[in-house]
Amino acid sequence: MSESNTAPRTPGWLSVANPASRFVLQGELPALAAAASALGFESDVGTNEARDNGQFALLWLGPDERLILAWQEGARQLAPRIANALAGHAHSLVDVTHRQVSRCVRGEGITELLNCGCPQDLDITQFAVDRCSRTLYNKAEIVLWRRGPNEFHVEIWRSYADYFERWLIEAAQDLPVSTL
Amino acid sequence: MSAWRLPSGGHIDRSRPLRFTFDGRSYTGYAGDTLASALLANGVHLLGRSFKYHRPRGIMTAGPEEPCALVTVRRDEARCTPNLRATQVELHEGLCAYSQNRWPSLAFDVGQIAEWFSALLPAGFYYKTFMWPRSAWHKLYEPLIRRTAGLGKAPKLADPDRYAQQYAHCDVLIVGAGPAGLAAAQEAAARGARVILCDERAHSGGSLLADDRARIDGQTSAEWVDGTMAQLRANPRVRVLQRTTAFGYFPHNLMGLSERLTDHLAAPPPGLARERLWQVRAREVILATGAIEQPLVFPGNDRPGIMLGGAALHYLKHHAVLPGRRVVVATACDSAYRVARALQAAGAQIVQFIDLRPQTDRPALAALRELGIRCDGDLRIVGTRGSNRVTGVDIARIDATGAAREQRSIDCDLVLMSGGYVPSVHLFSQSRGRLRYDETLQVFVPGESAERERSAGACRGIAGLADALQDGARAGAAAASAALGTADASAANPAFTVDAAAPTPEPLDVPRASVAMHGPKAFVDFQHDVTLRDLDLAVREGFRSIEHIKRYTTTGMATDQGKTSNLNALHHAARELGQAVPAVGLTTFRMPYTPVTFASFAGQARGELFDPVRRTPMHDWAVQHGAVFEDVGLWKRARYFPRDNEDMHAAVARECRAVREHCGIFDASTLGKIAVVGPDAVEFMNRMYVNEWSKLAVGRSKYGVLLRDDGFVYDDGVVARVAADRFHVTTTTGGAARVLAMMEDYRQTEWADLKVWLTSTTEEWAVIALQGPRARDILAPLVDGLDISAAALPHMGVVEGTLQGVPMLLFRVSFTGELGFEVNVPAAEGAKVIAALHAAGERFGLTPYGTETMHVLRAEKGFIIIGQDTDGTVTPDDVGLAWAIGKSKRDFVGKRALARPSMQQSDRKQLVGLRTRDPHIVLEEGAQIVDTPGQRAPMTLIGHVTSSYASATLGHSIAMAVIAGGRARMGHTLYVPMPGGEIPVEVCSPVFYDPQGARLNV
Repeated sequence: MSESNTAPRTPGWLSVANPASRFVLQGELPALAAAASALGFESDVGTNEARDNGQFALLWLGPDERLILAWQEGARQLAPRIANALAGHAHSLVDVTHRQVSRCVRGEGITELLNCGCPQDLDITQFAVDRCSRTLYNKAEIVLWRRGPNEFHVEIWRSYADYFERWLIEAAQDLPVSTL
Repeated sequence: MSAWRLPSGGHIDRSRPLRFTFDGRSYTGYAGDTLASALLANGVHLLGRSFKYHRPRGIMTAGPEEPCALVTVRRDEARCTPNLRATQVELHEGLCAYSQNRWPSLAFDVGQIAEWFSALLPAGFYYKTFMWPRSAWHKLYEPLIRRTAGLGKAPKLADPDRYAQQYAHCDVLIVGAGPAGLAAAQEAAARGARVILCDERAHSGGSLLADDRARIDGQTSAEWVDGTMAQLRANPRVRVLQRTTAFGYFPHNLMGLSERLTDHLAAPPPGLARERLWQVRAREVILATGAIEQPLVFPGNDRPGIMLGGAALHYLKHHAVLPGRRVVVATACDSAYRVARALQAAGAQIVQFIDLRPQTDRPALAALRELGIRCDGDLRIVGTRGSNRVTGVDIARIDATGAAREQRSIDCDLVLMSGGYVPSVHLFSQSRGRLRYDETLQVFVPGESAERERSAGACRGIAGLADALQDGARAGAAAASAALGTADASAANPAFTVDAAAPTPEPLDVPRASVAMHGPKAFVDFQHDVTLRDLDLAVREGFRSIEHIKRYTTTGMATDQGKTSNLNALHHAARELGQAVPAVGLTTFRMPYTPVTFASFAGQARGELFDPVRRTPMHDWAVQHGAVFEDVGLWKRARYFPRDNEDMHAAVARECRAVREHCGIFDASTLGKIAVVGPDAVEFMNRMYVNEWSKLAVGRSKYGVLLRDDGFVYDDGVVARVAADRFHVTTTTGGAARVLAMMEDYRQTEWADLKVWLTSTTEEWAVIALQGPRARDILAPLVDGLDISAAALPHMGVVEGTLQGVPMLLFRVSFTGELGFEVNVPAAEGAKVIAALHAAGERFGLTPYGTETMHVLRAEKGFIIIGQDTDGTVTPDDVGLAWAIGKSKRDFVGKRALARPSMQQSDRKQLVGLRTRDPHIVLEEGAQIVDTPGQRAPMTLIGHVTSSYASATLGHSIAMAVIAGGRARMGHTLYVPMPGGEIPVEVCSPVFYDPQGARLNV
C-alpha cells in the first residue's frame, strides 16, 4: 500500500511558497483591468505575463482568466475589496486559497529538471522572467511562473503536490540541481 | 595481440585492454571496440542462428542495419537484454554476451534440421499448413512455432534500472554526425541557432570513421571531426548527444531520441539512469542519416564470413581489425575497389575480385590487377562453401541462356559484397514526406517534405565527401535562417577543400534486379530467412503489390525493418512482375528506426510515479482509524474501517447499522465541485442540466441530472444556489474533470454570449458527511450558534457559517436516507474539523464509514451510482429520474435526443429492484436475467444486475437491475442463470428502505 509516506527528504532547491490567499478571477477585459487597478497594478497583465508588486501577484491564465496571489491579505478581507472594485462588471471571483499549494524551485539546472515533465520550451529566450503558463508536469496540471533565470514559482492542486515533488526529486538523480 | 588485430591504427585505445565473454568463452578486446569488432579481432565470425532455418550467421554489417548478429547481453539475472545488434554493442570490461536461437550450442544446433525440410517451408507455409484443425492453432501449432522460431528471451525479473525522460526544444535538430551532419551543425551554430546534434554511435564522424586518407581543409578526417566537435561542444547553444538514436519522427517536428547512458560502462554509477528518452521539438530538422550499403543476392550469401565491403573497411580503419586474410570481393559498384585496396594494403590477400557488371575492361580492374590482385568482370558467385564460416566460393560466368560457364572454386575465409548504397530515408518516410524514385540511382530519395525538414548528404543520394559536406553546410545555413527568421542563406556557400575522398555512397550503374543470382538459399532478408525463391513463389501465387508480397513472405518485416533487404526484394519483385519499381510500391517505414526498450517509454512513470496518487485532506485521519483504501480514479478513498479483525462484510454490516441507528461520519471530499458564477449562471445551468433552476432559491439545493447531447445520463450531483449569480455544483468523483470539460466546451463554443464562468473548486473544500438520526445532535453544539433545526435548515437547505471558527458551507443533504449534513470547510482545515466532529460524536455512537457502506446505504434507498447503475445508454426515465426534468424548459443538453421515438419505447431497459427468493443469496453484479426458467443457450436475455448487496438493516439481500420493460414487471418472478443453477428473483421497487422518506425530514 502506498499510504506510508516514503517521500525522500526535501532537497534544498525545493521550498514551500504559499501566499495568504488565492483567487481565480474571470470576466471581460474591463473587469480584469478594474481588478488589476484595485490590486495596485498600473494595468492588466499581458498574455502569459505575471506581475508582482510585493503585496499581490497577478498571473495571466487565459484571455479572460487571472490568478491572484495575495502574499499577506487573507481571503475574507480581500474578496469584498475586489468585489467592490468590480461592482457593475460581470465577473466571477472564486476563492481557491486552499485548492492549490505553491512551491518555489530554485537552482542551477532547474530548467532542465522542469523539462523532465513539462513539455514547454523553458529556455530563457523563449520563457523569460515573469512569464507564466498553465501547463503540465507529466500528469499534473501546474501553473509555472518564472521568477528568475533559475527560479520558478509553481502552483499545483494540493492532491497532486506529492506526485510533483516526488517526480522532481526522482528526476534530479540524473540532473543534479545546485542550490543557489 | 590477437591474430586478426593490426599492430597499429584505428580508433581503439590499446592501453585499455578489456576482457569479455561470448557464450561463456573469454576474449580480449580494446576500449573503442564494439562486440562485433572485438569478436572479429578474435577470429570469431559465428554469432547466431537464423530465425527460421537456424542457419549459422555471422556479422554482415558494422552498424544499425545488422540483420544477423543479434546477441543477448547480460549484466545479471534482471539486466539481460536480447536482440542487441553486436555491431552496436560497445565493449566494456566484463561484458557478457550470448548467442541466440540455438540449442544445445551455437556450433551444433538441433534446430538446423529445419533447413533439411526447407523445401517444405515455403513462403506462406504457416498460413497454409497450420489452418486445420482450427482448434489446434492455440494449443499446438502456435506454441510450437513460437518455441522454435524465437529471437532471444526476455528477462523474467522486473527491470531494476532507472530510465529518464526529457523534453527539449531547439531551432535546428540534426540527426547524424557524419560529414553532412557535422557541416550542418557547424553552419547552423555559427548563425546563432539553438542546435541539437545527435548520433547513434559513440564517436562522431559517420563514414569518416572508416577513412584515414581524406583531407578536409588540409586536416585529416579525424582532426576535422575532432576540431568540429570541440567547436560545437564549446558553444552553449549547442547540445551534442552521442549514443543517441533518433528512432521516431512525430508530427510537428517532434523527434523521439533514445540516449543510452550506461550500457557502455563496466560499472555504471548506482542510481544513474540507463537510458534517457528525449522528446525534441525542433523548428527545423536536418536529416543527415547517411546511406546503407546493400548486400548481393547469390546462393549461400548468408554464411558467417560474408559481409559488406563497407563494413570490412569500417572494421579495418576504425577498429584496426582485419576480418579475413584470404578475401573474395564481389561488387556491383565502384566503392568496393577502394575496399579491396585498403585490405590488400593492410596485409590481406585478395584472392579474387569480381565485378558483376558486364564490362570486363574497366580501367579500375586493370589498376587492381597491377597490384597483383586477380580480378575479373562479368562474373558471379554461384555458390559458397563452409558450415560455421565460409571456406570458399564457386564463381562462374553466366551466359545468355543462364547457364554457368568457366565455373571454378576458390578457397577463402572472407567474402565481401557490395551492392551499392541506399539512402537511409526511414525518418523522412516516418515524417510522411513523399519519397521519389530516382531512376538513375535506382533508389528512393526524399521528395516533398511534409514537415519543416530537409535531408542532407548521402541520405538524399548525394555522393562524394566534398558534395556531402557542402550539402550539409547549405542545409545548416538554410535551416538556421528559416528557424531564426533571418535573411535567406543562399548567399552562404561554404567551400570545403577535399581530397582523397572516402568511399561515399555510390549508386549502381546496372539494373539492381540483375545483380541477384538465382539458386538455392539466395537470401534477400537475412533476419527473416526470406530467399529469392520465396519472392518468386509469392509472385507466382498472384501477389502484385509489395505490401502483399511483404506480408506473405515476411520480407522486410523483421526488427531491422528491411534495411538491407527492402530494395533488393522490391527490385526483384518488379522484374518478375514486369513492372516499374514505383508501380510495385514501397512499404512505409514506421518508428522505431531501431528497437527501443519498453522501459525507456515508461521512463520514471512507474511505481509511485505511474499515476498521481491523490489523497484527501483527511487521509491521515482515515489511516489512524484503520481504513482499508480503494482506488477511485486517482483518489485513495477509505473503503471500510475494520475493527478487531473484522472482514469487509462484517465491518460494512456494522457501519450500516451504526448509520441507521446512530450516526456515521464519512469523507466525501473527492466529490467534484464546480463554481458556476456570473449574471447568466442560472441560464447556463438551465441549458446544461435537465432540471429547472430559475426557481431555486438562494440557500437551497437540489439534485441535478446532466445528460450528453445523445440524451443519456452523464453525471449527477447536488447543486446549491449560494447566491443569485453563483451555483455550487457537485459532480461524481470520477466525473469531476469531464463534467467541467463538457461545461467549458458548451460555454466557450456554443454559448459564448453568456456571461458565466466556471472554476473547479473540488480541492478547495474538504467535505465531511454526517449521516444518521443523531447527526444534528452532534453537529449543533459545534457550529457557533448557527440554527440548524429542521425549521431553519430543512432538507436540501444550504447555509454559510462557521464551525469552531472555521468558515463552513453547510449542506443538509442525504445519500443514505437518514438525516444528514455535509460540512464543507477549507481543505487545509479538513483534518482538524473531522477530528473535532469525530470526538464530539463519539458519545452518540458516531462511527466512521467508507465507500462500501455508502454504496449499500444508497442502494437500500434506490439511489443510483453513475457508471454502476448507468452505462451511457440509459435515459433519465430509464433510471426513474424523469421527475427531475424541467418540463417547461425550451431546451437543455440532450432534450432533442430524448424526443426520439426509440427513447420513449416502453420496452427500454428500466431500473427496478430485485429480491432473491432466498434472502441470503447475494446476486452477482453484471449477472444476466431471463424471464422464464430452464432456458438453454442462447437464452433470451432481458437485462442485468447493476448493484447487489447484503443489507444488514433489512436482513436480506437487495439488488438493482435494468430490465426490458422492467416497471411493468413488478411482482413478476424472473431468473438469474448462474453456473450453479438458476436463482429466482422477484421484481420490486428499487426503494427498499423507508419509501416514504420519513427518516429524512426530521
